[in-house]
Amino acid sequence: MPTLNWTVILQFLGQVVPFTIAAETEAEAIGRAIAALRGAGFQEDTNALNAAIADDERREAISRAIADATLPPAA
Amino acid sequence: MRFKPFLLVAFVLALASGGCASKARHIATVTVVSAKGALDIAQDTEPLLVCGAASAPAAPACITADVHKKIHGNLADAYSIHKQLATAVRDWPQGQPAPATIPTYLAQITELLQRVLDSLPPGSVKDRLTALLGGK
Repeated sequence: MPTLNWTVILQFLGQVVPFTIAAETEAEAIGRAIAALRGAGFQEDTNALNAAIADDERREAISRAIADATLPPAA
Repeated sequence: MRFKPFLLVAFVLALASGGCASKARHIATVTVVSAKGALDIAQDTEPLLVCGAASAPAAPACITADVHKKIHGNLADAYSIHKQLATAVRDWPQGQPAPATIPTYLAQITELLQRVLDSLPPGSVKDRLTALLGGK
């Protein structure tokens, strides 16, 4: 079973459906990160997962703060 | 408009392929990173569409404040689950079968991402973001 080539998939999506520059740039960065995992061993995968866990905590806190913020009263 | 659960399907197919456990963990790692990519794009791009942002489309195509909060509630939950997913894959002992929780976590993340997409105002912006994230 061949591994799906996420780099190609993400690049294809970015080319077919132009969106904001931020989203396309991020998709390219994600594609590069995934490509960098190609051929990675157990420890490299572990390092990538540790980085993901740390960033998940940061991003969860960001979204939680927005979700919990009090909206100003309607005018 | 349904978000294609490509991450879940890809992972299940990889496990069913009968490959060795170490390769399956690597495929799971790539799946984790891909899932995180989709969440990160949603979190980083959504603020650009909030009503009042310089990059936001005009109402009603922009995201209102209450929808903005709702979206981030879903994203916060998704990141929490993703952290559990990444932890499960990281702690997967070598030579052992895949943790049974992995497909469940992936399905939950897929559902939450679909809720985020469903919250977006209808229009070309929603269509483009859905396509970028692999939705349908």
